[in-house]
This record gives sequence, structure tokens and C-alpha cells, in this order.
Amino acid sequence: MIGIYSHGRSYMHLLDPRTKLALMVGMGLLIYSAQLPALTVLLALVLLLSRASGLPYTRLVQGLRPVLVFFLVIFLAHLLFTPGEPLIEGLVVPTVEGVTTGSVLVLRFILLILYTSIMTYSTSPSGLNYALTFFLRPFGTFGTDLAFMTGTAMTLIPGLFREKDTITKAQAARGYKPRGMKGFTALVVPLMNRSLKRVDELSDALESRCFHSKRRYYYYRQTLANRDYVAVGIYVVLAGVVLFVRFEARF
Amino acid sequence: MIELKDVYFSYPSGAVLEGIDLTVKKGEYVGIMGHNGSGKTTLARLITGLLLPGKGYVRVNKIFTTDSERLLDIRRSTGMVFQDPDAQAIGETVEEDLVFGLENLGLPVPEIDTRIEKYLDLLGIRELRHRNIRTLSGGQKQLVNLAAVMVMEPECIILDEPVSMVDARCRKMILQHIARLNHEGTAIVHITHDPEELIRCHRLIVLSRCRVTNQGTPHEVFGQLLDEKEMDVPAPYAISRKLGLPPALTIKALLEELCRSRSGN
Amino acid sequence: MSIEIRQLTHIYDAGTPWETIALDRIDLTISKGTVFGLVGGIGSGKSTLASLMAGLGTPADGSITIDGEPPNPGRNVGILFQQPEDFFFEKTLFEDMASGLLHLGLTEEEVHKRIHSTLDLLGLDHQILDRSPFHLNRGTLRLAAFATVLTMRPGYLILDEPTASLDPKSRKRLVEVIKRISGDIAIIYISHRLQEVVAVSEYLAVLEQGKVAFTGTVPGYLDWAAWQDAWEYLPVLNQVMYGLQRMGFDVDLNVACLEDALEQIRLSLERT
Repeated sequence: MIGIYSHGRSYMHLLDPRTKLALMVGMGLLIYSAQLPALTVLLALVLLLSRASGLPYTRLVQGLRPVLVFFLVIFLAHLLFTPGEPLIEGLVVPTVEGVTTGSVLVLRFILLILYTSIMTYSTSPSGLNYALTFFLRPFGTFGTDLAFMTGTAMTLIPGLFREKDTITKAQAARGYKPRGMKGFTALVVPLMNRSLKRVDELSDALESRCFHSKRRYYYYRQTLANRDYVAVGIYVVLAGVVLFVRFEARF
Repeated sequence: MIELKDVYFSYPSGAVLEGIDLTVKKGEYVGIMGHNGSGKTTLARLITGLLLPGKGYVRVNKIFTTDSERLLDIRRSTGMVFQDPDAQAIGETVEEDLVFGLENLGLPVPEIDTRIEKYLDLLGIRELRHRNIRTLSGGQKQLVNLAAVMVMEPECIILDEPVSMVDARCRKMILQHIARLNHEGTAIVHITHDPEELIRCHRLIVLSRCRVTNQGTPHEVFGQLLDEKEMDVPAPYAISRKLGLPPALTIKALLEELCRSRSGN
Repeated sequence: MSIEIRQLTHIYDAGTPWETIALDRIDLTISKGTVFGLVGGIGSGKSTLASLMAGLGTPADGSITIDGEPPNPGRNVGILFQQPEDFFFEKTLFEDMASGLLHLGLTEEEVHKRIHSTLDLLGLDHQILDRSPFHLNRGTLRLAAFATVLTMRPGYLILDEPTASLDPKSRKRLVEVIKRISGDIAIIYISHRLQEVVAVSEYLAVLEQGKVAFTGTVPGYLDWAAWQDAWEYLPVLNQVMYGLQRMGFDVDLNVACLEDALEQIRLSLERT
């Protein structure tokens, strides 16, 4: 779901990670407040950004596959249960409003995922760490520690999925596909077991390499460049337009 | 440089080390041999203070591992390479992994750059610099782990089963690098169950049933082990001794002895 | 009665830049009642082959049949993964071992009988059944995991690095058991500890980058490795023999243990 980082020198790659993190949060807010017309613009924008980051469309869209069913369910639920002007006659009535509401919600989710994918594809975990550290620095050691924890957790997540695969296979190899609560235990207990072992070893490695709370993150120091200002500028304009349209529509 | 005195350690499941005395001098290459379950992994972690002894003490450069304020100093002079190549990967790319330790040390950026280039070159993995660690083979990952430790230039490197999860080709390479490191002055503590890995060490220690049972040069210790039949010794050594030839630690040496013996006939 | 593998192909991440051909048209036959070793370095495809043989996953192309049927995990084929003791999760060992069997449809009495007889076969104390898997040591747990797979009575059993991380006593026991039961079932033994594979197996296959580089008997394997000058495929003792052969000594490449090697060398020295 989250596009894994790939080293590169595209426009998006070269943007300061702090800009990207801030923009991502900003885009999130914008997506949430935008209505259908604005959302389509944002959709076009995301495809443009995908180009700008070197992320091929196929991979971008692949991130959506696991949640497609989820989207379908949401869309259908809104299609059928939103009150309004009916499209066809019947027991359960799809409405015009239903189509709109459903599409808006699904589109918002899709856009969130797509923007996040582009962000994580073009930002190294180090960069992300740096950006998080920068924004959390006002909170002192707690902030930088939190940033580090988040960064490390992200690196560990793919490993968790791999372990889950191995465990399901191993249990299946016993001819045994447990369901329900038992199935949950059969997966979770070994998963916790192995993950805790892994994390134990990782923390040993961290300590051995002299990790300490007061350490500074300075190698991957970034300076803001013109392109960052341009990117922020574009965002401000976009936000202005979207919000204007939204509130204009109200009156 | 490293000193363990009368060290005891137990897990809830039972005692694992009893009355261990051990020293490692600057620049020494010490091999610690023991079966799986003999406490050798525990020993590795006791040296750097990842674990604390139940009784006795551990000192690195005269600093006790129980001195929590100065643990960082201990870790600066000792680097550790663990058994599982995957479990030690800290950064996403090889470069990030190496930068991590150096940032922890607070070295200036130009120094970091110099060191990274130097050690990637030394280990012959310069082209892996920007590769994602997860895409590397087990042997390559372990080389990266070794680089990440070497780059911090510790006085002593501790290796806990460094090549047991690594393919044959990388194995040979890593062992050679370790020997070379020691040549250039770094003390090495090499812990393993495989005697073939330890033929180059200055001093060999055997851990068995929670205690140090043998200590001495590889020749001395392998000789004792061969007679006691307790543990494996390198095959060339066993063959040369059993045939009454001068003891050979490597296959090459053994073949030379056998040729000499043949022409002697 | 055998496992027939024909033109087996498997590709990961097909159609993406990460596409890797894990297995490339593999042909193999593994007969019942033998121990078949599988050797290969990283990226050789042996883990993929093991998974597919165990019926966990569908190959991209080609076929695997076990006694004429497709692989059915837990029924006609079983697999013991690496570090199998991590996969226990029940409160007592007995419950863990019984769960798979109950799923097969056996009665509680039959389950009891099978578990007890398998433990006897492996020389394990029945007392461990009442203990929690988290309180037993690794060697015992490994044998228990082995027992668990055996209770399913598969005709073919795949063992992936069965002796890794074990102390010598447990290792020896496991190998003894394998030798003992190999008459009734076929065992596919995957390990990178060449000395062990060579000592236990009758037949061997070598995988290199998804292709079968060699398949045949163990003496054949040693000859093949020597002919290739592939030292990394020879266990240490056999490396010594090979080195001697290259220097003109008249010795047999195939030695199973130290005593054999010494015998060969002594005889060769006497002849000169």
C-alpha cells in the first residue's frame, strides 16, 4: 500500500523531505475538504506527480488492490442508502445523491493512498526521519525519539507481512487451516514470538552501534531550494482555489 | 582490554555460565568455541554489557559493564556483528546503515564520507552503496554488517557466529577480512561452534557445560580436544595428527605434509 | 511411487522490474523410501521448490505430482520449516500436536494413539506432552515439531535445515531418527551443511539459479563436484580427498567419515 522507497533523482525525489511531509499533511486536509470537481483536479494532479517522481502508473495503482473491495462496499452502501432522488425503482433504491456521496468518499480514500504512495516512494526513510525529527524537535528528546520510533516501525512493517505469510504456510503445512479465534491465536502467537526475537536482536544491534537519545541527525541535512518554495507556492494556490470553490458553492 | 572475572549467568531455564575467567588483550585474536546452547551467545552479550552478570564482573578498558553512565564508552571501543544477517539491518540502504553508527558517534560529515568510502572499498562492496539492504544475499548483508561495525573503528570487534548463515563463497571472504582486520591491529573475539573458522586465532578458548574447559593456542587446544574426543577439530588437523604427521590446520598445509611424507618414502 | 516434477517453473513478481525466475523448468524424480538431499546456495530456488512440493502455492508452469496426485499439505506430503519450534502456540504440547490430527477427522482415541506411538519412535518422553512449548528446550522442541509432522503420516516429508541451531546431541538424535524412518517414507533433506547432507542422503540434487545442475547418487555428486573443481560443493573431508587426488594420490573421493579418510590415505601412502 505504501510505495516502498526507490532511490532516484526525480523532481519529487529532490524536494526536501520536510516539504514533502508538510505537503502530504496539507494534501490530506485539502482532500478531505474538497468536493467532486476539485477531487478530479486533484486526481489529475496526482497522476502528474507520479510522473514527476518516476513512479510508474502500474505500481501506483497496485497499492490500491488490497483495498478495492473495501471501496466497493463503501460505494455501494452510500449508493443505496443515501436519501434523495431515485435512479431506478425497487426495494433498495440507488439515488443520484448516493452516487455523488459514494464517489466522493471513495475518491478521497483513493487520493489519500495515491499521494502517500508517491511521498513514500520518493522519500527515503532517512529523509522521512529527518522531516519528522525536524517537526518534532520542539518536543525535545521525546520528539526525536518518537521520530526514530516511527521511522524504525515503518521499516519493520514489511517484515511483519513476510512473517505472516511464512506462518500461515507453516500452519497450512500441518494440514491445518484454523478458523476463528483459534486461527487468530495460531497466527498471532508465533508472529509475536518471532517478531519479539527479531526486535530484541535489532535493539542489541542498535545499542552496539552506540545509539543514544541525544544523538543528532545531521548527515542527511537538507537545505530548502527554489523548487521547495515553488512546490509550496503551488500548494497554496491550489488550496486557495479548492477552498474558495468549496465555500463559494455554499453561498 | 577486555576482562571477565568469575562471571556467572543464568536464565530462568537454568545456569548458562559458571565461573568464567577471560581476558582479551589489545590486538589479540581470540576464538571462543562452543556448541549451540553452551552459553557462547550469552558470553558475547556479556562482553559489551547487553547482559549483566549475575556474579562476577566484566570490564572493558577498565570500565565496568554495570556502570550505566559509561556504557557508551564501552560500546565505542567494541563493535559487534551478530549471527542473523537480517536482524542487524538498521538503515534502508547500505549507505544509511553505515551512516547510522557514525552519526551516533557525532563525527563530522567529511569524516563520515571518507570512512564510508574507505570501508566499502576495503570489503569490495562499493557498488552496493545505494542498494536496498533487503535485496542483498545473506553473505552480502553480513558484509554490510561488518562494514557498519568497521566504519566505527572500534578497538575490538566481537563476532557471534558471523558466517553460520552465510553461503560458502562469502564465508571464505568474510573470514579473510576478519584475519586482515586483526593484522592491522583490531582485537577480535570470534565466537562459533565450527572449529574450521578459528584456525587463525592467537588463542582459543573452549566453552563446555557452562565453563571454560580448554585454553591455549589452536594447536594446543585442538590437540587436547582430539584426545578428549569431546568436540570437533578441523579435519586437516585430525588427519595430520592421526597419521603421525606434523599438525596441519589447513587443507593446503595437510596436502603439503602428505606430499612430503610420500617423497620421504 | 514417487514425486514427479516436470518442467516446473515459478516466477516472482512477474511483469514488474523485480521479476525473478525462481525455478526454470525443473525435472526431478524422488522415489519412495529414500533420503533425497537438496543442495543449493542463496537464490538457487530450493526454498521455492520446497514450498511448491509441499503444496503451498501454485507454480507458474509445469507440474508436481505425488504418487499421481497433486501435493496436499498435511496429507500426502509434509514439510518442516526452519526453526519449527517457533510455530507452537497452544498451552500444552499435546494440544498443538493434536490439532492438526483432529482436523484430519481422526477420533480422540486414534489421535492419542498416534501421538504416543510417534513419540516412542523418536525416543521422546511422553511427559513433555503436558508441558507448555515455551518451557521446553530447543532440542526437545525440534524433535517434537518433527513428531508433529510425522503424526500426519505423509508419504513424503520435506525437511528444511532440520538441524540448524541444535546442540550436537539433539542433532545426532534427529539424524538417527531420519535414517530409521526413511525406509517407510521418502525424506527430502535440505541443508547447506554439506557433510550432513552427504552422510544422510542416498540421492542428491543441486540447484543453481533455478535450474537443476546435478541429480544422481551421492558418489556421483562427489565426482561431479570434483570434475567441476567446485570446492564449495564438497564437504571438508571430501575436499581433502579431492586435493589428494589432484596431487596424484590414489584415493577414493567418496569417504563418509574420518576413519574412512585415514584408511584411504594410509593405503595410498603404503602403495607409493
